[in-house]
Amino acid sequence: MLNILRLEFLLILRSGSHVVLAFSFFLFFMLLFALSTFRDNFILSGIGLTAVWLSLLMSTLLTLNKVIHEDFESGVLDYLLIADIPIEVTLFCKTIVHWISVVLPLLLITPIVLLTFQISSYNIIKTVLILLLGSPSLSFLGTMISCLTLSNRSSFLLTTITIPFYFPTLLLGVFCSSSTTTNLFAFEYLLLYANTLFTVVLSPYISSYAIKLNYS
Amino acid sequence: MEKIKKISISINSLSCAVDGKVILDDINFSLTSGQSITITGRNGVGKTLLLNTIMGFKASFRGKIFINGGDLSSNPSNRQEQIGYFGHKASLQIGLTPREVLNYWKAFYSSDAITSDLIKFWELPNNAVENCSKGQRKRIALARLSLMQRNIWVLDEPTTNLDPVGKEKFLELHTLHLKSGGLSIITTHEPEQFKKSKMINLDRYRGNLSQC
Repeated sequence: MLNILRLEFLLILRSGSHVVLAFSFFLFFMLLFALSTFRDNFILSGIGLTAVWLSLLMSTLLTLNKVIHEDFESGVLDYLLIADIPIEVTLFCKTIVHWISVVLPLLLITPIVLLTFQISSYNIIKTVLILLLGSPSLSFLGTMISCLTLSNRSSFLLTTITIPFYFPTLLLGVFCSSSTTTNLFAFEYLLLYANTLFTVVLSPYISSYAIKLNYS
Repeated sequence: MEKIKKISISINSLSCAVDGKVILDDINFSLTSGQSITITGRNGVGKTLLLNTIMGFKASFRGKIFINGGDLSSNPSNRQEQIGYFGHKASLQIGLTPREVLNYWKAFYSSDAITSDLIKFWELPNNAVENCSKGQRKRIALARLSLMQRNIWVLDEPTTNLDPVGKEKFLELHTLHLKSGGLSIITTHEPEQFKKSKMINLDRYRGNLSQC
């Protein structure tokens, strides 16, 4: 499996323009948020946590058609389906690589971007930690929906179906980020962990089922 | 390809449909180790459809496909163990170089073939697949076919776009494959290349298009 992860990273390295796209989109979206709420510092620090989740969601959405749609159109997916490696493992690896290459860089610049929102450093660290624990579900949900919408060549369905599915993650994420408790096992955190684990475990199976449906 | 055992595939009264229309009707053939069949027919008659049905990429069909006597629809894993596929699309990752492409598929097919030997054999270039010609892409895809090390070859027009040298190389590989006990199902417009091969012309198996 490590070998497969390595090969998928190589693919991203060679044709990963979407990584740069997501990164710059996130950066500019956040900065525009900060700049456009210049009138009131109170609103600014209140809106920061919501803005970071929203921009993360949007930039992830931009890259989803790269996870599996491209392989489907070029025909690579045909060969992945008949490979010795089960398609579930392949999908899991592809999603992990998507998370590491697209979402993780965004989390790395989040602290710097959040400084412009005048948020205390304690809250920044907390937010990044919550993003780290909550964001894998964005990639895994994304893979699931991409596999469901394979036959739709324009990513219209992919985008419109994914947004409602991102809603629970968005709500839980914002709720946890703005919660004042320091206990990492409080109810809202547990819900966020459950959401992540649920999607991580179920996504490869539902995705492979969706692909097989599409091929029949 | 050393440890090939006895292998057989048989197709029993197979009918394939697209959007409820029967395109191909009542196809029967069977092959055992060392045999091959060429499928001919005019453009659009359903050659690729037949191969896709065998590969399980299209499931609206009636009839049975047996591999070694076992029904393929009740244990699809036979496909993963036996069938090597070569589609009409090259299906390569265009950002990678041929060597990287082959290494990629080598991992996915848990193959013990040596990549550099394949590169030497097919004379593959060292630039990105993006800049390769159609013929070169075909060569890479054929190298991947050897990587798969499967006993049943399902090939969709393997020799189109290849130069005479490439064709020669492919036919040599194909003979070797049959000699070592494999079998192959090939669609082609030049069936005379495959000597000693069975032949089936799909023009005679056209379904009644109006009927469901």
